[in-house]
Amino acid sequence: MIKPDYFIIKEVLVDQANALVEFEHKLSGNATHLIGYKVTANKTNLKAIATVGISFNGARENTINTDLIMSSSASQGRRSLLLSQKMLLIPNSYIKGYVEDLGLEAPYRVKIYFHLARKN
Amino acid sequence: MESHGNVEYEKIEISVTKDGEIVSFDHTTEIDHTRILGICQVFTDMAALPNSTLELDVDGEAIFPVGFESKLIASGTEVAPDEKWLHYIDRETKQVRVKGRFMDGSALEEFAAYNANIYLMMRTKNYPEN
Repeated sequence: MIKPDYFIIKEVLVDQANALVEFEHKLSGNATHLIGYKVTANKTNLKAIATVGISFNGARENTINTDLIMSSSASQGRRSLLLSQKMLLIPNSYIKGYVEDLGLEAPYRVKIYFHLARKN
Repeated sequence: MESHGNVEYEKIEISVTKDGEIVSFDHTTEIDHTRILGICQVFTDMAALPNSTLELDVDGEAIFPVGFESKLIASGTEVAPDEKWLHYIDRETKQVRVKGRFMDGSALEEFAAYNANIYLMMRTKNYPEN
């Protein structure tokens, strides 16, 4: 039986201008693949307000300028989910990252969604 | 339930009648539907979309966790009907339970009742296999 995809959310509070907020998440043993990821924030302004960096098991790293992927409107929110090639996750994979504010909009909250697949 | 060839749709009605309301739902898919192909959410008032969240389990497994924002699966009329569907949930079903909670986060100054219905795109048992 095929298992459904699922999501985990990492929420980060950026409480002051130019803050660098780090986050880390260890994935459960059920996660087999990373399908995509997405960033949203509770600000309606779509201008770049932060940079989000993500690394997977320390091996691959992506730095994302949030104006490319963050959005507040429904249609933009749907389109901006980044669907990369499915990435095979080794057991006990971990995700590390940071949100670096560009000094324009703090305080705000950022949610980083990780779209995952489960073990059959 | 509406039919469209070998695909049919199931609707989970969510009516929000007061500011900050949490609406729970517990839906069992129909016996003739063999697979969930897609999901979308439709708001009758798009002003209520920001900060509203949707938790969703399928057959006891969490798909959308606490804090999952509805704006990731909702869209307005600017998105063509065929493009509204997100295929996050692709799994075999026969009367599986789709449970969850919708949380209004609209925080509008003048609240007005609205619906935030969830639609499931379902494969019927007659669907041609590839």
